[in-house]
Amino acid sequence: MSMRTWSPVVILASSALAMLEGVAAPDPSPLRTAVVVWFLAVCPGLAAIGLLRLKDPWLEVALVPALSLAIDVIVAGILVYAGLWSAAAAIIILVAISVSGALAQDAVADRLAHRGQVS
Amino acid sequence: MRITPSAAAGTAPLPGLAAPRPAAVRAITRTLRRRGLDALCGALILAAAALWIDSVRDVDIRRITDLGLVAALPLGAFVALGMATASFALTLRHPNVSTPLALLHLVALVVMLHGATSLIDDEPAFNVVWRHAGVTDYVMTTGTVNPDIDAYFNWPGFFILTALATHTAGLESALGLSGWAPVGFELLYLPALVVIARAFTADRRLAWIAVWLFYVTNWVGQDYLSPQAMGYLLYLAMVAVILTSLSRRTAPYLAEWRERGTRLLLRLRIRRPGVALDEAEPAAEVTPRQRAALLLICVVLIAATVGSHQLTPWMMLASLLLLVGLRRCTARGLPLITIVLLVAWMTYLATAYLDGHLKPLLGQTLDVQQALAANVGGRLQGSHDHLLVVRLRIVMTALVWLLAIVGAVRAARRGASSPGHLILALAPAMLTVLQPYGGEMLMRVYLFSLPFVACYAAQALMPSPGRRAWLLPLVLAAGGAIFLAGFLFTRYGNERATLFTPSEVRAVDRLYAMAQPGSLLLAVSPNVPWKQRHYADYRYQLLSRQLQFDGPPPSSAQLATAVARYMKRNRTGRAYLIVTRSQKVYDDVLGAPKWGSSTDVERALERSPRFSKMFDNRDGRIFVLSQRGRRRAP
Repeated sequence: MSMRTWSPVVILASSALAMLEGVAAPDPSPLRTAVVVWFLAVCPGLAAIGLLRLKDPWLEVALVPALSLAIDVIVAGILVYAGLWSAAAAIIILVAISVSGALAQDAVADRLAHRGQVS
Repeated sequence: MRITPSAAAGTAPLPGLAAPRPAAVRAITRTLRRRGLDALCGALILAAAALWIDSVRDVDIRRITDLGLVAALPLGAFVALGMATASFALTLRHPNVSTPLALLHLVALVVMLHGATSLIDDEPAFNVVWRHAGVTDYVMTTGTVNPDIDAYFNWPGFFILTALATHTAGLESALGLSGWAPVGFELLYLPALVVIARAFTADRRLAWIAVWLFYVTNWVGQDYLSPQAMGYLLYLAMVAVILTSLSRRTAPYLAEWRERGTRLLLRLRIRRPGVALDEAEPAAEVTPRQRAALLLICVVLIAATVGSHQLTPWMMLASLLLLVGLRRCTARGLPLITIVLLVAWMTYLATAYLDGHLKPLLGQTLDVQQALAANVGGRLQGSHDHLLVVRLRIVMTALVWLLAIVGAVRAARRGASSPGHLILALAPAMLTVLQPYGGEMLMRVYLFSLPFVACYAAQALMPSPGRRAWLLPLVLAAGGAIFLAGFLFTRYGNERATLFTPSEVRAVDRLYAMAQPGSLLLAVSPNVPWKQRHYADYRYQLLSRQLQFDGPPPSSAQLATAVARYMKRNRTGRAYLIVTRSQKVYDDVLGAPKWGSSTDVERALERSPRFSKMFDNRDGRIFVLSQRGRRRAP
C-alpha cells in the first residue's frame, strides 16, 4: 500500500477519533477548537476525494476543504430545515461519512492491489 | 593518458574510487550552491515572519491614523517585508523552483499580510463579524432560522455551519472562531490558486508569481468570518475543476473563429508571425467515472453556495454561462443546474426577503448611474487621509489591470493562449450593472477576477526568454516593494475605524445588562461591536439612517430634541442610545451624515436636560431619556 493510499485513511480515522474525543471533553480549549475546525474543513471532503484517485494532487488538495465545508453546510442545513437540528446528530453523520469514506478507500486500494497481483 | 584533477594536483586518487570528472564536480558544486541558496532563502523567510510577528504584536492601536495601520508599524515590520520580498525573488532565480520552498514563502506571506489584525487587536475587528456571530448565536440557541428577521436568515448556510463548529468546540460565541479566520481562509484558497495558475502556464515560476501577486494585491479584505469568505473558496474550487478536468482546450466548433482571431492579432502586430499556438498544460485526463464524480462535486459546491451567499452563486453562473457559451467547458449542463438551484432557493427559502425587496432590487438592475454612484462616488468621501487611501485603492487596482493587459498582449505575441482565464477575468464584470450590492459590487468584481488577472499580470513581470537570469529577481523585488507598500495602505487603510477596544465591548455588555428584551437599542453610526448575542431580542436602529433634517445643520439643542422625539416614539419598551469610540472614529474617517456626527450627538445629549447618562467609561457612553425628556418631548 503506497503512502498516498493509506495516508487519507489514517488521517480520516484519527481525525474522527480525535473529534469524538474532543467533543466529549467538558471544557473548551484551543486544541478542541483546532480539532473541530480541522475535522469540519478536511474530513468529509477527504473521504470523498480520496475515492476518485485523481492524478493531480494539487486539484485533490484544492477540492478537499471546499467539498468538506459544502458537505457540512448541506448536512447541517438539512437538519435545521427539517426541524431536527442537533449539533451532535450533525457530527455523528459527518463522522459516519468520513469513516465510510476511509473504509471505502481501503477497500478500493485492496481491490486495486489484488488486480495488480493478478495481472 | 588522461590527467585527473587529483593527479594534476600531485596526489593519487584513493584506491577503489574513480576520480571525479570536472563536469561532474561542477554539477555537484552547482547543486550544492543551489541547495545552499535555497536553505538561505528558507531561513530568510522564517526570520522575516518572526521579525514581522514580533514587530506587529507591539503596535499601539491608538497610534493608528486615518491612513491606517501603516502609520503605527515599527521599522522592523518594513524590514521583515523587505526580507520576505528579497527571499521570494531569490527563490525564483532558477526555472526549476523548489515547490516546498515556494510554498513556505507563500504561507509565510499569508500569515504576515493577512494575519496582522489577529496579532494586534484585543477584540475581533469589523462590526460585521459581530453581527455574523449574532446570527450564529441565534441558530445555535434556537436550532431554527427565521427568514423574517433579515437577509442573513434567508441565506443561512454559512451560519448553520458556524453554529455547528461553535457548539461542537464548546465556545460561547462564534467570535472565538473569528481571530485567525482571515489567515485560515487565505490558506485554504492557496491550493485552488495554484491549480488555476498551473492551468494558465507550464512555467512553474510564472505560476508561483501569479499566486504571489494574488496575495499582495488582494486588499478587499473579504476573508473574515463571513459567507463571502466561504463562498469564494467554493467558487475557486469549482473553477479549479473546470479549468483542469472539465475544460475544452481545442474546441472544434471554434476553429474558424480562432483562425480569424489569429489573423486579427497578426494584422494588429500583437502576435508575431510564425509563432505556434502554445496552450498551457494539457487538461488532466479523467476517466468517465471521475468526470461524473467531479461534475457531482461541482453541483454540491454550487448547492452549498446557493444556500449560503447572495452574490457568489451569480458569479458562478456568470462564469459558467460564458465558459460554456464560448465552448471552453465541457460541462454544458452546469449553468442550467445552477439556474435551477438559484430559482428553487429563491422561490421556496428566500421568499421572506424577496417579498419586501424584489421591487427595489429590480429597480436597481441595469441602473448604471446608480451603480457608479454607489460603488465609486459613495466611496470617495471621508477625511483627507482616508481619501488618499481610497485613491490608492483605485490606483493599485488600475495598476494590476494595466499589468494584466500588458501580460495578455505579451502572451498573445508569444502565441500563448489561455482563453478560459481571460473569460473568467472578465465574467464578474457582467454583474457590475446588475446590482450596486450596497456600494460593494466593484470590490467584489475585482476579488472574483483577481486570480485570473494575477496570472496575466505575472506574465507582464516575466522577462523575455533569453534575458539575463538576474533580471527576474530584480523585477520581482521592485514589483514587490510597490505592491507591498500599496497593500499596507489599501488593505489596512480602514483599520482605525474597524477595530474595537475592550472598553467599548464592556460598554455594550453593560447595555445588554441594563436593557430589558424588547427595548430599542440605538447607535449613531453602524460601527458598534453589538448583536453578537440577543440578535432578535431587541430592536436595533441607527440614527444616521433614521434622522432627517432639511436645511442647514441643526443646533445642538435641535439635535437633542430630535433624538429625544425619536426615542420617545418607541412604544415597545425603553430606548437606549450608545455612543462608542468606534462610532466617532467611523464618522471622522469615513464621513458623517450632513446633519452631524456621533461626536455632535454625544455633545448635544450631554448638554441636554432631556437625557440621563447611565454609563460612561473611556470609550462608551449610554444615554436614556430623563424624566424631563420623557415629559417634554412631544
